[in-house]
Order: sequence, then structure tokens, then C-alpha cells
Amino acid sequence: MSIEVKGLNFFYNKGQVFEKKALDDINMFIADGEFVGIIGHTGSGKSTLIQHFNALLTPDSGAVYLNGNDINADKTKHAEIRRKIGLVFQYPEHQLFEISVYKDVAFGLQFLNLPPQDVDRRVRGALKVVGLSEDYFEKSPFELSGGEKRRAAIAGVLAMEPEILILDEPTAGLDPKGRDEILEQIKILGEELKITVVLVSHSMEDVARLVDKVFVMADSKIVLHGSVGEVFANSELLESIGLAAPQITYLMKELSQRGFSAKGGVYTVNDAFRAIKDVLDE
Amino acid sequence: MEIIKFENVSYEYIRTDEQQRITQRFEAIKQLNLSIEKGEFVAVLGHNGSGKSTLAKLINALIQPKSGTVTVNGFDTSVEENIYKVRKSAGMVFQNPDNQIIASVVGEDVAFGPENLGIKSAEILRRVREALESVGMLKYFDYSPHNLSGGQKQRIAIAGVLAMEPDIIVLDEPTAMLDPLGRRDVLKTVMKLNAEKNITSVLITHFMDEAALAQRIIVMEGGKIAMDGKPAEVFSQVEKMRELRLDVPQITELNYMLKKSGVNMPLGILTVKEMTDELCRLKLRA
Repeated sequence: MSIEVKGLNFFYNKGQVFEKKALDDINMFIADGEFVGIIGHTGSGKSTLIQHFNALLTPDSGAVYLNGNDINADKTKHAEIRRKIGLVFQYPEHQLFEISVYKDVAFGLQFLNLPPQDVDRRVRGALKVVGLSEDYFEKSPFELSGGEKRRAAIAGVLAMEPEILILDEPTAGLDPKGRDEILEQIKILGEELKITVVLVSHSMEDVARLVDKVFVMADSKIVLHGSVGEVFANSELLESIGLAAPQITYLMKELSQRGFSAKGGVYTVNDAFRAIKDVLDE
Repeated sequence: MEIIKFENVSYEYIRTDEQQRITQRFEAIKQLNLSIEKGEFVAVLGHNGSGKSTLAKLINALIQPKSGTVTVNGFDTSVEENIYKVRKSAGMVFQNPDNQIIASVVGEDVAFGPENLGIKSAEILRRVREALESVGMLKYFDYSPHNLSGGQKQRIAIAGVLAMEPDIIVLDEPTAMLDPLGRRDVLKTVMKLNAEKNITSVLITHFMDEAALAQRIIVMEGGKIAMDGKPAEVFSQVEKMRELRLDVPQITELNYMLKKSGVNMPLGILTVKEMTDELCRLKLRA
């Protein structure tokens, strides 16, 4: 499913003294099956933007199109749209409430009138993706560690089998292995099921490693977008808006300044390894 | 002088049913021994559920050990009368800044702690100004905290702890929700307080590049200390770190990959500068 945003403006507290422009003339296109990253400083409008994708917020002007259809043309269709678009909020573990992990993940499915075996298949599948084994099924979500709770909450969204998966800082507070596991699984899931994935993240390293395309937000606007290479080549601009390039990019820059001329366009550790090996093996 | 001391400390979480019968026990800290010197900057790493946050709560006397002793600034934390002194000695900063800010004006928020100590207004004001100055936020004295960025809010939370004039600051994943600039600002603040005011800092984090800035790294696993050493020592053990569900900074990972592929270089490289120097030296020799 593709997402297109045209001329979107949005204000918080519109018409009041505390009116604040949160999104300023946003235009973007995310193709069906793409894995995109949205980066930006805190308060830049990332979370506000993604809440427009499933009609939790409606634009003050402009429009959001899913597969070419304006999602706000007919408000009676919002429930259907939200079923197709899975949104994992920040701190999704605050939304856990059931008596067992299994029941919590299954909660959303009861409204879909599925046969019980389908519910079971989906719950098991979703828990497998996030790496929670059967030992966890009957545990109370509240006795899990922070990282495990996060996984359970993400599984609840995955079980709905959304066509677009939007994740707002899904790995904040997870240990490195847990972070890599969840992100890898999401990447695989996106590729296998051909779903569109939107990842909002503060980790430049994760974004560089995973996504096809990056949108950069600052002060309610999209200030830069393009491939990973196109975006991270602008490290000065990124720093001026409170972001950074991946650590490895700074190494490559320093090396080229010191006359160690490895090839350009390197934003991940693996690429850096190959580029440096090439120079040393010459 | 050791300011934090754990001697054979164990702690368990207990789950009970409606009749208060114990249904489950989970030992989060097991026979742990640890001592931290005054003025040290220690990073604590470990996967989710390894016992890091429990360790932090034990330092702050939010919980007391089941067995063994935790001594903070000379006070045994399991003695009821000491709890107040322990909490004054060791301030805590948590992950989500929005849950830690209570007042509608920055200055008032920072004043909240000292106001409850019953000290004079002039002294409170002096402390608040000094604390805000230390975290580089004095000019926001009259601002509403809600309009600040995540990094700024977190620095306000740190100022709130500083106004209590603690000897120790324990930070439990203070940068998890912050953008790169916010993370850098918070880390700089912690390092500055440690260097200039000699405040003992215990930083719990999942960011390996932050841990690389500490003087010492403690790695937790299953409620015990699995590794303890300087960043270069700890991070040079890439495989062991991975086994413990952790990682190493990008530069150190590259260092490890190059070494493994036969490049003649030492392990334990942490910074861009060290790496550049090493690679340029290698190229000259080639």
C-alpha cells in the first residue's frame, strides 16, 4: 500500500492563543513495499506526522492518500483504514492490559470475526517474530522486563497483519541484541509480506543499515529526503538540526582528510570494512 | 575512598496471590560484590532483565537487599533511619523526562527537592541557579518545561537532582528517548559534573558509544557482574559482549573485523581519532 501526503498543514490548538504549527506543508511519497525511515530532532513533528497516516489526526489543510484514496474523504472508513495500518506508539508497553501475554496479543483479533485456529496462528506467528517463546504465553505482561513488554506490545500490532507498519521509536530502551533482532525481523517481515514499513528513529546507525529511503524533519518541515547515501552525505546539515550521521561516516571523513582515500558513500560498518580492506590490500 | 559498596548482595522480586501466598520468586541480584570509588564515572551495561535497574534502585535505597549490605556514603541502606541520608547522597535520573518534571516553570521544578529539605529561600534560589548553570540551562529559568526539547528536559531533571547537592548521580538510561544532539548534551553534562564537581556518576545505558566515555564499565548478567574493566578492555572482547546480548561501538566493531581478517592492529580501539591514526600508520608502512 502506498502513502502519499500532499500539502499537509496541521496546528495544535488551532484558533487559540497557544496555537502551534506542528506540520508545515508536508509533501511525501512512500511506494508500496518500501522501507522508509523518518528522522528528526525531538519535537520536529515526526510523531504528529505518522498519526496522520492512520487518521488519528486530520490535516487542517492538504491530504493523505493511501493507494491513491484520500483517507479523510469518508470518515466512516476510518475504522477499516486503522485495521490496515498498524501503528506502534512510543512506549507501547503502556498499552498492555490483559492477564496473559497470549491474550494481550490476541485482543485486537477478536473484533475481526476470525476462526479460532486463525487467531491462534496469528498470535503465535506474531510472538515468534518478536522472539517471545511459548514460555511467555501464559505469563502476565506485567511481570516481564521492559524489553519483553515492548516485544509483547509490538506483537499485538503485528498480529493484526497490517498492510502498512508504522513504528515510532520501537527500540528505545532495548538492549543491543534485542534491538537488532526486532529490527531484522521487521525488515524480513516487510520483504516477505511486501508490506510498507515506516520507521521513526533516533538511531542514525539503524536507519543507515535498514531503510531504502530517509525523510529528515526539522521544525515541522521535511528538510531533506532521499536514499541513505544522499541523506547522510549531508552531515553538516544534519548536525545543524540536532541530528548526526552514523559514527562510521565520521571515520570515513577523517580518513579522507588525512589522505587515506577509501571509496566514498560508506555509511555502515560492513561497507567501511570492505572499503578500508581495499585500500590496505592495494 | 569507596562511596558505594555492595557486599554479597542478593535481591529477589516476589509475586504473591490474593491470599498473600508466594507464587513466584525471581532473584534479580545474586551475591553481588562491587565497590565504586568517590569521583568515578562508571557505565553499567547488560541486556534487558540482567539486573541493571535493580542495582540502581539498591543504590538509592528504593529497595533494600534481601541479604548482604549496600553501603552508600558510609550509610547502610537497610537501616530505616539512614534512608533519607542515602537518598540525599545519591540522586536518580530516569529514562523518560516527561515523567520527572512536575512544575510548570523550570526554576520551580528544580527547586522542588531543596524546598522539601526545609532550607531558606535564598539558599534554595542559590542552589537552583547553580544547578541550572551547571547543566547549561540557566537562561530557561522562567520557561515552561513543556516547551523544551527532550534533551533539555532531561538536563532539567539532572539539575533537579543537583540542587539536592548529591555526592552520587545514578542515571538509568537517561538518553533512551533523545535525539543525537540531546544525547550528546546530556552526556557532556554528566562528564562535566563528574570532572568539575567530582560527582560519582553511575550511568546505565544501552548505547555502547556512551559507555566508551566512562572510566570503567561494569557488565551485568543474570544478577551478577560478568565483566568489569576499562572501556578498551571490555570492548576488545567483542565475542563475549555479543554472547551477553550486547554490542560494541561501531569503531570497535570495525577494529575487530579488520583484525580478524588479518590486519595487524591492536584491539580495543574506541574513537575515530585512534582508528584514523592506526589506519594511516598501517598505510604508510605498506
